[in-house]
Amino acid sequence: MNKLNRMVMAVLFTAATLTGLNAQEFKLDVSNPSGKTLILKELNRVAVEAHDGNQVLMTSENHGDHPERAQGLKPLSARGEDNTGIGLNVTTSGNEVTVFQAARRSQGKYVIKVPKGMKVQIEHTGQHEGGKIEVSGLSTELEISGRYNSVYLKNITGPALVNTIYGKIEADFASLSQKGPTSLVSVYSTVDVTLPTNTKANLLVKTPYGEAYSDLNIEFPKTEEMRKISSAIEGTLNGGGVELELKASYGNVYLRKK
Amino acid sequence: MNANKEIEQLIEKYFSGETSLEEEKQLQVFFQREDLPAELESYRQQILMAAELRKVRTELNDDDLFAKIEEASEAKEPKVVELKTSWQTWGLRVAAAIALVLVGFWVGERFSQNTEVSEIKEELALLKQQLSSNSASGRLQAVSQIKHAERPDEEMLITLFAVMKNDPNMHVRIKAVEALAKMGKQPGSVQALTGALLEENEPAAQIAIIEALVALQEKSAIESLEKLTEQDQVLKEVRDEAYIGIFKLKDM
Repeated sequence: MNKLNRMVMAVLFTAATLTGLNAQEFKLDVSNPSGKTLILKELNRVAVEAHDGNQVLMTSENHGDHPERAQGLKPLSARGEDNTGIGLNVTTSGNEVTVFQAARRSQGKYVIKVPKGMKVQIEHTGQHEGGKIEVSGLSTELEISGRYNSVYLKNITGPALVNTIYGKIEADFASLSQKGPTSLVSVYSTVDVTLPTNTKANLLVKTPYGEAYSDLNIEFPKTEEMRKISSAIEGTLNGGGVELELKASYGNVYLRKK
Repeated sequence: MNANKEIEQLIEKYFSGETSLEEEKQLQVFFQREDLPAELESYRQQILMAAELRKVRTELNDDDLFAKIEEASEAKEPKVVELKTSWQTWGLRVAAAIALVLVGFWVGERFSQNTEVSEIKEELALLKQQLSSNSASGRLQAVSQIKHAERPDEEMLITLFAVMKNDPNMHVRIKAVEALAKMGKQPGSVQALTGALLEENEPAAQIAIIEALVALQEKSAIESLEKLTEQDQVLKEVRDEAYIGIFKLKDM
């Protein structure tokens, strides 16, 4: 019995260390997460999920291993020090936790689990790199600003301020927070939004060079005058509510019901 | 470090409109320093411009107003010594009545302006307080709820200029641009818009500024639009938008 126990322990221990090594994880304790903000900068591909608990869990997937010659050496980066061992630099100051990608790893993807209640800001300014930004399950304020990135939002509530230049924005709202305006802007690509049918909002859709499509019941203001010819569509959903602005300057806007 | 904390507290007080004149002066002196800490840099313009304006502004005070009324009524007093004929008496009475009505209008006008001014002041204080929030959505809401858009006071304009130039979030900056466009031609707004146009990096915001300049029908903006079209790092579509803007403005 004793022997078996020891063996099980040994197997478990090896398994734990092995997975630990493979998963490439970094944990950061955050006391009192609501009211704090997580800022993610220049992470080329990133998925953010909400979880219970007071830790920010960062894991790196399919990153390139360091070459043998690099053994015992620290990776250098023009962007700053990798102080997590997984290619990220993490600093905490006041109510803000800032994470930026120190290693180049243009294809590497990071998964970041965030305590519920923590606000998230994601910024990517890199030229020609920068892939998907995915956020799911967050019911706090969200700010995302990218250039080449496509943004996928799932099961969020906002308020969300999202802008990207070349990528598309797909947002599936669990409900639309009435705390503040939500605004989604893509310059060249598609903005595709799904809302619950009972969403209250003052809607503004702008597609100067594109089209807008919807199956939601949008109430348009009744005016005696002839409607101004304009690419901006104004209306309300379920009698009006928080401001919801959707803009695709050179692309199309799709607004769907859930 | 300690001194910075003090200044930060002052800034907070300033934005909630609770600073005394003395404290505002202290802030202005501080922000004239060359070696500002980076985190305070964004406030510099707002505070210095507000100070600049205060110097320029000449407020109509009560003494001036009464002096004007007296002047007016003195001018209207006919120089007649004897009041023998009845048409003279009647003339004087009519003149007095008219003068009284005029004064009534004047005072009424002044009172209604006063309530409007205080409403604008209140709105401004609220706006400044909300703008110091670290929630971008909150700041966006604050800018989109500005009501006194037809007759903004100078401080409101300065605040919007600062938001348009310094707010870290693009959506908030665009809202400030749209608010300025709605206010029509205002002192300094074309200059501020063209200045922001050449500093702005986000194409969506650049396009919003171009649209605002066209809406303001301001020919003097053509030069800045031309400059934008010469910048290689500006996206082709934005430059096209600037060409369209130049075309529309020249056509006016």
